[in-house]
Amino acid sequence: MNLQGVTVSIAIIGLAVLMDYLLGDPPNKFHPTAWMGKLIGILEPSFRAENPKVEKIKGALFAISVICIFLIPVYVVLLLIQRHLPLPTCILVSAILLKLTFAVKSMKDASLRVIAFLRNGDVQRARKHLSRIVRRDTSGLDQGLMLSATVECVAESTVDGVTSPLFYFALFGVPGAVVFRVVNTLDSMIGYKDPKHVHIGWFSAKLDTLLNFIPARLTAYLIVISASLVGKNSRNSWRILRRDRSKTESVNAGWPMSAMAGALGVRLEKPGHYVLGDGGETDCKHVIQALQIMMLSVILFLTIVVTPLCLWRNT
Amino acid sequence: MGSLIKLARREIPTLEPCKHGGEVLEVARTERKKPEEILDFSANTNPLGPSPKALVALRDNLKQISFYPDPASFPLRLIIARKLGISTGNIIIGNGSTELIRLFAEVFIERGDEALIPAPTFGEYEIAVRKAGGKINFLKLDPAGFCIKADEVVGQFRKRTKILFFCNPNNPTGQLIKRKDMLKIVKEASQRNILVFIDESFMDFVNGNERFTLIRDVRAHPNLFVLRSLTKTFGLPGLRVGYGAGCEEMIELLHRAKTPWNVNVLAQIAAVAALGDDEYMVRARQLIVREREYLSRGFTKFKHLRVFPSDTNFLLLDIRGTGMTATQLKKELLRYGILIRDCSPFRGLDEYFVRIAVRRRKENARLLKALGAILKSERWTKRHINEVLKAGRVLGENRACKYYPCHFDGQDCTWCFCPFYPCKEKSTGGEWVKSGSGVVWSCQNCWWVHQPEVARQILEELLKIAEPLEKISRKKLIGIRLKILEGREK
Repeated sequence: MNLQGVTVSIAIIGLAVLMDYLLGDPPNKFHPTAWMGKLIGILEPSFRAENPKVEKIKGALFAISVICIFLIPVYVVLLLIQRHLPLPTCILVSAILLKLTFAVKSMKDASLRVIAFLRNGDVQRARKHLSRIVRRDTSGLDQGLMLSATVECVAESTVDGVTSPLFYFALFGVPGAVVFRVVNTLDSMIGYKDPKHVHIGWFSAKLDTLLNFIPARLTAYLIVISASLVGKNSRNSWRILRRDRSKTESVNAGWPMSAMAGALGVRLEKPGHYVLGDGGETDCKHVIQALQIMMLSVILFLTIVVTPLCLWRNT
Repeated sequence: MGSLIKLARREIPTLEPCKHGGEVLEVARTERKKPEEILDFSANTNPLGPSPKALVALRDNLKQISFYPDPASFPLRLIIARKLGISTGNIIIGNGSTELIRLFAEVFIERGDEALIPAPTFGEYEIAVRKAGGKINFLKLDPAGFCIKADEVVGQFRKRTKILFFCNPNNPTGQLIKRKDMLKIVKEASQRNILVFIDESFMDFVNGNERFTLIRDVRAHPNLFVLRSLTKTFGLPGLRVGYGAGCEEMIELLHRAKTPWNVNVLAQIAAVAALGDDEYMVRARQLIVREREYLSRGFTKFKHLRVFPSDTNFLLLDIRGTGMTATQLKKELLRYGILIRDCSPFRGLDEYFVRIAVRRRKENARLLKALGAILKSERWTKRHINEVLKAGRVLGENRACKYYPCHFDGQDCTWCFCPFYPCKEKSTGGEWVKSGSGVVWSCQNCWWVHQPEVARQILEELLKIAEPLEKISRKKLIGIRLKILEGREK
């Protein structure tokens, strides 16, 4: 076994997690993920085509180009640093890059802000803050549905915001996490089923689904376990996971969300799309509990998935 | 006769007078005290009080009030010019430096022109520009240190920018802009035909001010105007007198537009006498350096206060760590006969900043002691909260409070002081914010306790315990908070 390799990987993760815990995310101006979004928005029109099939192919080309635009510099920089700079610098740079691919603190702060405004009785501002973290139209949602959307967002972000990038870091190092982040950003920009995006976003959406496939399932199981550790109903979590995981359009999102719905004993609902769980309406406190479960699931994921994977990769 | 508002110039109806410190006479009236009984830390004037030479000259020349004053204050300008080594043609005298701010804006601003003004700074520049019909582009300073950087200023120049206003050292932060930076700004501005107005009202209190002032540079830079106060320097705020320096052409323009006899006989006489009192200024500067150090060390000992570094005769304090607003602290200190400056009217500062002038040792010690008594025992919050508990009923909307509604219309004012502070729990909007060199728990975005229903529940829960606040453990308090939060949701 390559002991140094393992130590370095774990040091990078530890440092990245620490940075997230203490500092959170840089403002959008300096955030590579925001740059990705901008770049995707700029490049997308030039990959359009009249013919749906051609557009699908061009969409795939588009996704691959965007991936390359970010992957190649990261790869080159890491390679140069490894060759020419001392190990601690290398760990620091890797940790910063890794940190930028996942976000726990900013997710936590963003959802807490929603409930803070609700608890202060300012529904308008709560709605405004919610619309920054979910895709759906928030204007018609009542308080229960807004909180439901917040919990769903926490559950889904546990996967695509945290465990997935860490998973691909464990398998392929920093470039793996970066590729995941690019694919996930592509999906959030063009991976829609509406007529405008259905062809151009087809490949990105499929790729995102594929990459999240395993982490979504692992995370859902960890949510079940975490539920029991924070004193919530893990048996119900398991039951709802089994029952409702396929009710969403996405083959992945249903997993963590239904596990979360069961754990909290609430009903998570996106009007006109799905209802997960059979409990009562979602309250502010459920968001806080969801965040606790999220934190614990991430810790469990790091210990029982990421660490063994790092060990395995270095044997 | 129609509405008079329609007859006024269009800038006037929207003007709002600036709120200033130093309101000893008003406070004395409302607090039913004699003005001498109030210790004024709110006005940044000379800690030694009025210059003794000025007082003597006033007494000896009282009879001169039967004459018109010299319309252009010539003798006073002569003395100032000699002192500075420039000519009388470079100097204009105002009825307090504020008059010159207005005059300058009126002479140079045309409708549609823009002025660049840092925030926070002295509020009169804004009003002067607005009154003259100009627009304002605010340069928002970073609250971490409120530094003004030359590059940032230059980057803000726009097509219609006409005047830059600076206060150096800045009021209320006390920070100096370096001479090098200031000169850079003046030069860049000159290339774009922009005027630079530097208010050096507090420069006389800066130790080694020769190295910082630009007043002797007015002849080399025709776009530069430097303002000085005599009111503050010589402790004569009741007399109103200040001066400005600029190139001869600029001063000539200002003289054309100014009010005749703007500076009264006595003010001219007192200023002439005071300017001859060099020893008095040397003593004042020494005192300020020493006492500023004493005060700022004293403030640093209170862990809830953040002191901003100052180069002049006042200190800016961030008090949010106390959980008390500036208004509340000001009110508490008035019980001790001490007046401080509540900085919430300053654009760019929130309700948690106060400004303290540096005074003499005995007086400074009195302030520190009073502050200690208020803060250390946290008596202010406890007393207020315990009064509520004793009364046993919610206060409802306190519309008599001049800050109502500080959060939202219909708010309940029972918990003007939050009994849970600092809960350190983000779910109702509280958060850690940077302040000075550290972080403090800020409740700026939490108005949970002001919802009438919540206020009532908190009171009920606290009454159940039937103990004064200081006997209830923090853990128990946080437990109550959580219970109410979650109970309301089920």
